[in-house]
Amino acid sequence: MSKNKLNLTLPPGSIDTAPAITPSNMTPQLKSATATERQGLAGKSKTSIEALTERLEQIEMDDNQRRRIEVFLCQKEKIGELSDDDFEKLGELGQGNGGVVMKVRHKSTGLIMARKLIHLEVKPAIKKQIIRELKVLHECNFAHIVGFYGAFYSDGEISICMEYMDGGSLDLILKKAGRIPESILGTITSAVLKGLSYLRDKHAIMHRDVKPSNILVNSNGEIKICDFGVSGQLIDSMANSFVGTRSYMSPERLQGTHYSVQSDIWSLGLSLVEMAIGMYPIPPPDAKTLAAIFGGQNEDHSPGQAPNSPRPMAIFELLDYIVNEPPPKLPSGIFSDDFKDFVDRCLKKNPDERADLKTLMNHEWIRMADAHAADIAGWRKRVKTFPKRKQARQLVRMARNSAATVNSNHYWRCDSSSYSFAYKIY
Amino acid sequence: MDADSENEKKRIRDAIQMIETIQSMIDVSADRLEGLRTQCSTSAELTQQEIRTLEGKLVKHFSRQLVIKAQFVEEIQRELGHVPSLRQWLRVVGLSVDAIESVLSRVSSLELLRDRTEHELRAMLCGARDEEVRRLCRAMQRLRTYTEALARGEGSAELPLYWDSWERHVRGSPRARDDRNNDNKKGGKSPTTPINKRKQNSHLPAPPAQNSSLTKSRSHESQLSVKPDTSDHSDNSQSSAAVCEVSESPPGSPRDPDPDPPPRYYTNTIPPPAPRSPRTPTVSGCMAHDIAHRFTKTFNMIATCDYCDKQMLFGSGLKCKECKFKCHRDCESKVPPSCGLPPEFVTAFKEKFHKDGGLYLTSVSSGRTLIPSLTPLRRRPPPTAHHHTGNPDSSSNTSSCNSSTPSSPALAAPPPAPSTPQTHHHHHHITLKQQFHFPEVKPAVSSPSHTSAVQSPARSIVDKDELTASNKSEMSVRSVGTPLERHDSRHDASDRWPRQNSLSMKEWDIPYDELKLFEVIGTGRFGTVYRGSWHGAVAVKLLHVNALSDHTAPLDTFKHEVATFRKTRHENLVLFMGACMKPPRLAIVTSLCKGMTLYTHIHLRKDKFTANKSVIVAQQISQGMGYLHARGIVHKDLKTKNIFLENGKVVITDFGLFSVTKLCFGNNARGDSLGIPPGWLCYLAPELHRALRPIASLHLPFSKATDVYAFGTVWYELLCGEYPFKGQPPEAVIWQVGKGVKQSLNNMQASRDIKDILMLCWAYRSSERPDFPHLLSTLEKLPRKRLARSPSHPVHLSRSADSVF
Repeated sequence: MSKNKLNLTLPPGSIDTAPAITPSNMTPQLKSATATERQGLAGKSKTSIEALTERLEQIEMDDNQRRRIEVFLCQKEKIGELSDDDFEKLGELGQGNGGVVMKVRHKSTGLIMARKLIHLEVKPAIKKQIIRELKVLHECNFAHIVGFYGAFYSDGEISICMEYMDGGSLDLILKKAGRIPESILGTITSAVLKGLSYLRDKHAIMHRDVKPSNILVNSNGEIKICDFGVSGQLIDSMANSFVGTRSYMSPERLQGTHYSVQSDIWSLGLSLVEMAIGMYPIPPPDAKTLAAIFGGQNEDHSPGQAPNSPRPMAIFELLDYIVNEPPPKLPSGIFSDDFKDFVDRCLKKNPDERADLKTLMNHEWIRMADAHAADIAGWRKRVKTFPKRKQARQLVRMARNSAATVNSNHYWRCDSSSYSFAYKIY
Repeated sequence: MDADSENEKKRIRDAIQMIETIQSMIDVSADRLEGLRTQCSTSAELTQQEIRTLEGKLVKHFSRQLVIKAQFVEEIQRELGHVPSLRQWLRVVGLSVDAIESVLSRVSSLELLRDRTEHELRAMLCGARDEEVRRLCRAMQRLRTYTEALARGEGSAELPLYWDSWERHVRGSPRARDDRNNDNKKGGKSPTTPINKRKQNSHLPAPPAQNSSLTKSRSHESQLSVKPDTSDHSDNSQSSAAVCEVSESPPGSPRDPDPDPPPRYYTNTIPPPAPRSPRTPTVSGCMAHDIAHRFTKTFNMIATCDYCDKQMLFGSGLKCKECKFKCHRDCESKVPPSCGLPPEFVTAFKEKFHKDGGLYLTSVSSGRTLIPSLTPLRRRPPPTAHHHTGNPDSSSNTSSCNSSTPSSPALAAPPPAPSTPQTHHHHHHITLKQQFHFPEVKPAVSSPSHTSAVQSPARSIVDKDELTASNKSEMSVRSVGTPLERHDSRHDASDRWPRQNSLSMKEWDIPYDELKLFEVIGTGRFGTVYRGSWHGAVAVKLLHVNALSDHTAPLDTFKHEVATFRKTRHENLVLFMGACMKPPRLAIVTSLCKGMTLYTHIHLRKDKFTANKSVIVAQQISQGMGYLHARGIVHKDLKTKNIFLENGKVVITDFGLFSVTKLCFGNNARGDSLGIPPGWLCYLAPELHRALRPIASLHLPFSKATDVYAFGTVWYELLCGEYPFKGQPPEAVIWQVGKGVKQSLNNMQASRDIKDILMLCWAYRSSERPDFPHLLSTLEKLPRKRLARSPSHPVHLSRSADSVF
């Protein structure tokens, strides 16, 4: 813009018309998409659950998944309006971005929930707007979306109550497991793609923050995504944001050009590489590191040599790497060609060349994964039993990187950076 | 096992945290040291003391970093390769850029440099000035000493840790004495002798030997007078010139009257003759008025030249910071060193000055080491100030010394300053005393050993009150000579400095109990702001103390900051009233800003600022910031939330608090991510963005230029009503700004001129950003509609301006 020597100006809005779903024009679409449902909800709770159940039938889910959602909705039915007095603290799940995430018990029903408290000092009008915007979450009922119980405001804090996922987030599991085997990743990816499509197709929402810490699993083997951008007002009102050693943001977003769901695809691709090799892939690990990681055995769980945390970079340096250097890729000879190809298609720097959701869902690798669904629950259980020493070694190595307090008994506890986003509901 | 690694991790984290904290203190101290060296009159006693204190502190900080780092080599070295910063250390030492580069090209870390011998250091700096070599050797030796002391667990031991890094060129600077004091091993005269002599000099009839030495000194004085030593104390080139001159001069006897600059003592082992010499010219040329003006450029001031009585045009004039003497730039060279002299004397002085062809001026140059020390004090308010507010008294009278020291051979010198009225006599003594707080040695004290002098200063405050008429006369002489004593008594510097310091600190120390706190009016990063009452309405910023209570380091920083604030008096800056400095109660008390912040106006109330109003607001911000920068203070956190609008008057707050706030905040910083408060990023200049690290880091390269960048953002907010890069995630802002991308101005309805200012402030290279005086003049040149008059200085939004909105 400094090149605009004549200082020509355009009428406002003439350049900003973004074709895809952009933050600016998303909200209206979203509202229209959900207006009818909200009416149903507002009317009478009985009819609302019927309406929702009806809607569930139109969505692609197997019977098992559908039944679970119904159970969830039934439980939610009993709860009604939430308030501060309804909860009993069970423990802290993590120190979050704007506040803490607590594991709580809803006293009257005995339900276990995850309650995220976000400290906000805003005017009542803004408060109401946030709560209103968060209500959209009531309508996000899907096998791969973390369930939402409700949101309320008390004592300067917005509380967002969500389904408690006892398996924790993938970044935690990754820390424990070292790496995540390809077969598991296939199933996970399939679930995430379905979740993203659901958000886009049914609610015209893009996630905007796909990364391992926003993908949760539970002991049933369910995989769900959370923390997607629903309330723009909440983002604006949040006191602090945190920028860490990792960024999953797509090059086009970093450059400030308009972005779309394609941006989520980049983030997914980057997350996949990280989970597959066990380290954040920017800057890419050198051959020696890779040899150390994949050296000895090809056992799914044991990283031969615990991977180093990325060498400390200035934040700008890291971001500039994402924008200007070749995208990360999977090392050859270790993963299937399909997986490699899938990741390459996700990690195209030009969003137009990047595969879209639909293409990816039909990708060979995903179809294979769907055909041979991996046992997520079993894998999760096995990870729990992984020896501690590896982790300890890893931690020493990560010395400077982590202010983490990883409690082996509690999978929710995690590195502060990763937890900062888990459960951050935009 | 788990617990072990946990502990280990914690230990490392703590260590890193500690190193970071120390780094921040180094930054603060280094800045301050730099400021003292370049912006204060380094010949002033007080400044030198402060420089010493800072040098001592910096040595301690650097040593601590080294020691901590040494404990953790393998884990942390990788991460902390750059700490402690060798470059910073060399700057602290006081080397020139060239010398720094030459050292850096040979040595990569402070540890390595520390292990070099003195000889190697010399070799490394070949080509640099001797003074620099001396500084480096001395500073390295200090560093080694203290590091070793730390390693022995004697970190609290009192060691002399300074190396006197100010520029000296005036003969009789305290350095010589200092050398003698600290480097006895160098041989030469026993340190006690000269002092002894001096004492006798002032109190007893001079023995024959004394006379001879004085005669020598007088000859020295005549040499001095030939030397073209004009006014500027802080001019580097001059001092190096002086060094050259010396090295060319034949290595005469120890009594060689040549003005002996410090490096000599190192290069050749001639015993320092200096102890005696400074006082000689003082006594002889005694107390002639010789205070150089400290000129600064003035802007759009229409005035008459005080020198040639002709009209001065816009921007063509200079004005003395101290006495408001104004003159043309062309006249500057002709103006006598008449700072502080009342106008009626200036004429007489001028004549005398020119008749004597400046000889007169230089013959008393050593007196200058004292008189400029008024300047730091003068800025401070009462109680000390009221005595010398009528500054002619304090500096113009020169005759009293002569008349009151009958025993001094210097009486023979020609009587100076003919125009000074005798009525000033009495006053003169008192003011001198109060300004300098010089330790006075009572007439009875005639002990030849300098240890007695060591003890005397402790009494000086009491003594001041007991001052009797009989010793007044001696006092006036003694005070002139006292810099010597001050240095003789340097052993207990740690004792003395706080005392002197506390005098000034006390004025700003507000007992917490005296404060009344009312409601909270804001919460910042650093703590909570209350409306309070202390002799009227005030704002009290209560710092988060639990974080501070851990160690005393932040307290130190806090005190430094407070010391900085008290220098600020400007209409567009919040009035700093004092501070509570007793932990855990740390608070800063300022006047209460009545209006709303620009942030509230712009972002919450969505008030529209017309172009005219924006310009006037921006002008006032530039004025306040220009002043702050002239005082050597970098705001570091200029943003609309820190700018109040009180009935159209801009009041800037929270300057320089950033490091304190970060310190307090640093403790709850999270391990590997950087907390970014909303709106913060868009005020950060590209070089700051590039320096951001995932750890809440304290060493960001803030500078005056980064303040200018932040001003650009404020300017944008005023014009557009929103933040630049609005709605973009932090990462995107960091990359874009770091890359030089600027907020597009395409949709902005503003004139070319206005956008140009924005683009200048946001220039990618810090060197291309204008400074505030320049910005101010640019803003003033902006064409304005419907403005009845062009705003004169200071820019008020008074009636006529108000009507514009």
